Amino acid sequence: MFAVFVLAISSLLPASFAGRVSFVPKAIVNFVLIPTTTILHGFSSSVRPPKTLPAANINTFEQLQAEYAAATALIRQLQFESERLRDENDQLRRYHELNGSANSLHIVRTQVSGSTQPPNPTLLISKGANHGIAIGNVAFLDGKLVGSIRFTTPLTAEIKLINSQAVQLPVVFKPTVGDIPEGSEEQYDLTLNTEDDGQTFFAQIDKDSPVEIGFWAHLYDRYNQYWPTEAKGLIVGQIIDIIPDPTNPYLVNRAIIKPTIELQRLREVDILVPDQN
Amino acid sequence: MNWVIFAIIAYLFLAMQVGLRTLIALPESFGGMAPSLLLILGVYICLTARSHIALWAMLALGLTTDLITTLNPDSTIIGPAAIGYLLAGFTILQMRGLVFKESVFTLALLTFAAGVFACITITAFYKLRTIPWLAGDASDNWDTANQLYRYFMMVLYTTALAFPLGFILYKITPIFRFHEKKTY
Repeated sequence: MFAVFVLAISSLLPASFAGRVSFVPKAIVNFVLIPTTTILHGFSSSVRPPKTLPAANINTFEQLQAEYAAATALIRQLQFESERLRDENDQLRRYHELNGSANSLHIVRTQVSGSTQPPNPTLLISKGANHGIAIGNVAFLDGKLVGSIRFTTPLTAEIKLINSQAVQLPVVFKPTVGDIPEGSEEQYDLTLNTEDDGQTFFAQIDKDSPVEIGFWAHLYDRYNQYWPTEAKGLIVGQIIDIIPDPTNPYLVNRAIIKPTIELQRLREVDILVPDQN
Repeated sequence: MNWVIFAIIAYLFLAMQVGLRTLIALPESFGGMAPSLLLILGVYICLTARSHIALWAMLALGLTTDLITTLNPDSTIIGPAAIGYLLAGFTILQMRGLVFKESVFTLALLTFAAGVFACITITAFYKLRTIPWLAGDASDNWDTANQLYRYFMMVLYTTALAFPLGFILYKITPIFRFHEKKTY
């Protein structure tokens, strides 16, 4: 009876305090599970690999031609950008050598060991605080936002995925995936769509908004309220549909955004870890 | 009961539940949850071990389930699944005198009953947490009906898996070294 009483109290503790109570047993369970679940998750990912979802359909041939021209122009632009960045990188390296230290980022690539149940799915990874990973670090893969670190132990960590509840996703919509948000664009807040069990997000846009199907949602937290600076520009998803908003169908549209990777089936993720010198 | 064997089997079931989740989980339209293999093990222990051992085993399995549950987006809450599993274990102990204990059909049916009790208890605690003067979790992040639906589908799926897993567990019963006296 005493155990039941203690567990009942523990069940109703505030989240911050409950997290401290559960830290040590959770760390032990994660540490013990990682060797086996890494192998099993790898096996399950190889049997059912994550799919990269196709881009939204463009209907007309003229639009396809326009897309091709835009893609060719983008490739040329990226080539110029690549040369410019190479020069900039050389300059930064020289600056770093002259000044000794600077804030920079490094990327920690890690394998995914397992995942947890919805409605707040997480990924377990086999690297933790010993590798510089801290709560709040951003997880991404191939430029696409995966989530943020929710829990760390010395050797393991948990990533809260972007399709968990209570995740804030301020975004800007850009027509192509390579565009970097400039800060002057209109910012939208994505809401998790509970009607399809968190597979998509939606944003309310004006009827006369230039946003169209196929636009890409880039994370852009202007004042770094929910996401750090290094997360700006990471892709949250792509607009797959625009429908009248059920709450105000005559004035507002609802843009449906779907992540282009299957978040829970990932085999590896990259973690952006700021260096603090 | 041999607690070392129990720990090893529980570890294997837990590793399969977490590691193979993306392979064995239901589609999103059916809730997207993986079956609870620890629940099957717990019901099996309740059917075959002595009462106090069964309740301690259910408590351990419930605590482990709490540690891998992320119903609260910000932290891990210890208690709801532990109490749910204890309640389920107590229910099984009341019913086991009325059933054929060595049957996988019994195991599957009691897994369903135990799952329903456990999941209702877990959902009730997380709903209680949204009361402002208790834990005060954000209530707009919690949809009770949706969560009950997810859990119900998970329990059905777990019941189906109880047949093959129960068959395996009954085959390896001798290694658990249960010493329960049969009473009729």
